[in-house]
Amino acid sequence: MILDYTDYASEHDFDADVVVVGTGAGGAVVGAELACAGLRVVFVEEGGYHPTTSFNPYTTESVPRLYRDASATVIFGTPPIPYVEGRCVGGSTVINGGMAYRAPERALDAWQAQVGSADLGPKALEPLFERVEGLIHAREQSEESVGDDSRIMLAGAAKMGWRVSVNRRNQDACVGSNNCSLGCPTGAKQSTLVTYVPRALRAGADCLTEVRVERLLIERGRCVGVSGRAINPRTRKADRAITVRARAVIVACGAVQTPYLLLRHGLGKKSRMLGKNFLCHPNAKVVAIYPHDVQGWRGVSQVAQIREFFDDGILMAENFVAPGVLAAYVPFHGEAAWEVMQRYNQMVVSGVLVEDSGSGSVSRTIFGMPYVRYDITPLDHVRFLKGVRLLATMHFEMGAEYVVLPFTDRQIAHSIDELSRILEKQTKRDTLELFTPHLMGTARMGSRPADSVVGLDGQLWELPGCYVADASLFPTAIGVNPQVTIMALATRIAERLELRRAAA
Amino acid sequence: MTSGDWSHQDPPEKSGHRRLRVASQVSLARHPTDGWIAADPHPMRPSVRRALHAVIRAIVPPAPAPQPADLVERVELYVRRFMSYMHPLAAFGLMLAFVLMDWAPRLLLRSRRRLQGLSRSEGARILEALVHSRLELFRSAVLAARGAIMSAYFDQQEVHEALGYAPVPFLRERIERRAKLLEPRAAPAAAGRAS
Repeated sequence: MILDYTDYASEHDFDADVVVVGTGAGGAVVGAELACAGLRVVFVEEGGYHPTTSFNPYTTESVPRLYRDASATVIFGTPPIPYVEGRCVGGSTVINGGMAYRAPERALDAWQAQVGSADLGPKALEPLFERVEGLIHAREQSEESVGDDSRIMLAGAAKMGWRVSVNRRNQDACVGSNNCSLGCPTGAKQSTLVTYVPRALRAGADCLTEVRVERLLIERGRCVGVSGRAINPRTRKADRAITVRARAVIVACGAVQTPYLLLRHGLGKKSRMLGKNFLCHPNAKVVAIYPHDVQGWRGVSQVAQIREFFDDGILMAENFVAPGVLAAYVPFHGEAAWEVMQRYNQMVVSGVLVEDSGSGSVSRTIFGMPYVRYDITPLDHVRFLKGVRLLATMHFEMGAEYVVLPFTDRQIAHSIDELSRILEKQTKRDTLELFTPHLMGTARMGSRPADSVVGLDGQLWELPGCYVADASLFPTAIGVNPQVTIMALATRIAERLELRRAAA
Repeated sequence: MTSGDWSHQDPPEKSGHRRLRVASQVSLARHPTDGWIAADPHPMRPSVRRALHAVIRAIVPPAPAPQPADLVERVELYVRRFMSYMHPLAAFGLMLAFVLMDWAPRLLLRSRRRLQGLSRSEGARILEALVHSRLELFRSAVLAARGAIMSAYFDQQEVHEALGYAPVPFLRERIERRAKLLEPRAAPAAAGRAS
């Protein structure tokens, strides 16, 4: 059963074997696996329930209901980086691009070495990846779903002699509607909204929507539930108290909200790692304007990634979005904005993703919101300049008239020479305009309490009964889209919890 | 762990939502048909509203970009609704940004008037200067306000039409196309149920 604000007038205390906070790539997977194993599962989700039939292409309606804080979330630092997270049943899997990459072997080898256990190595995770990929239909796109913007990217990479990797995406008969970031209206994207959550509900789980969890319930040193308040959809005031008591609590709110919740209870003191090791795969956009129609909105978003510079920590890809989303990132207003945006149908929107070489932190503030701090390292700045140069050069080679660059002070280049002159002047990190949807690493998993927040079973070292199951677990950045890796780790945590229950 | 039958669909009616209407067909309506209640616009004093109107006029593209008669009110409504979903501190910060931008011409000694007393083009030039200010506070204020206003403007029907962006017919065609793709799967399932 899915409940919402109106239901809490009469019901506000719930009991379960397991309460799962969050319904995204981590929470939905743990909850579904445990519900199918016969446990009584209750999900608590801060966002609302929005089914496939409700999705539309309108930013003004979709962003407030599907995104945390209507997407007004920012990482403070040099430069400040806007970030996005899903806040709805299905979490970020509802609004992501649907890329279904496993963490690369080199990242998993590093995890294994870092934690000193084969549990996080490629071999141990292989069956988990396989299970997840089967359930979310991870596969390549059909040829008919590919749009002209992706074809330009593929042709450009071929012209430059670059290696590309065709994306596996969690999709079932995707027809390239290119509405991924506002919810897939065809139901083809296999987000947890249409996979794991329905499975859990059919197995008897309940989902409390529109409830913000504010505290863990801790009794005699053990976590025994959560409490929070339901949010009035009209006034947005959190005004109805909700309590869920359970034998195990799974915190799966993402790499910002998870440490924010746990830090409230003074956890993480032993390792001092809770909230640290914040990683975010920052992205920079390069928008190319071509002399002919592209109509990037017709056809799937991001059919492939350019992997030629992957070993240097640089990924490049197309990523087309609706005009209401793009306009928020185009660095102009007034006439100048119209001059660029009226060429919307001739644009190829592409981006450079850099694998973090540094890390940031998440902490609590007195204002009732998390403070996320992250500075781009000099190495990453150099990588961005390299990535922007390469990507913009590729667009010029493909015949682009001009490119809009991700710098606050110099935004447009009409030629490779002009691009070089602009890049030479980019000496300061704070002129970069970045963005990120990938947040990771703030409650890292490990085999020792001294340098990690949770053990290899996902349980907090300092709080029995409390588990983490989201991208917070990542010991390092992985350099690719994280959802499949989150799902694999969440499956592992469910398995271990089920084994523990069986043994008990 | 059980594998079982993992079908891929929204929650079934039986275990579905108590009250929200789960439409069987995608409507693609601007306001979705799932019973979702949009939040009330964020409360705003008249003086801040006047500042917001001035900022909207300075930021939205002028003609030949589409200029619906109620453009400022429409963008205002969406911006204020966005603010209702933000953290209260972020929404308060955005209101301060509107006020700061309204006073910017005087603070920067560029005019004796506030933004609301200037022409659209003059206002746009002053905001452009703020974007390149050395003070991060000014830069951040304009960027945050600009993001919200531009997003709302470029989501308007008239603007979509002017851009040649027609997502609704395109999505309808894609939904039908996918339904056809799934037909071969649906037929044996229906036959199985009948038998």
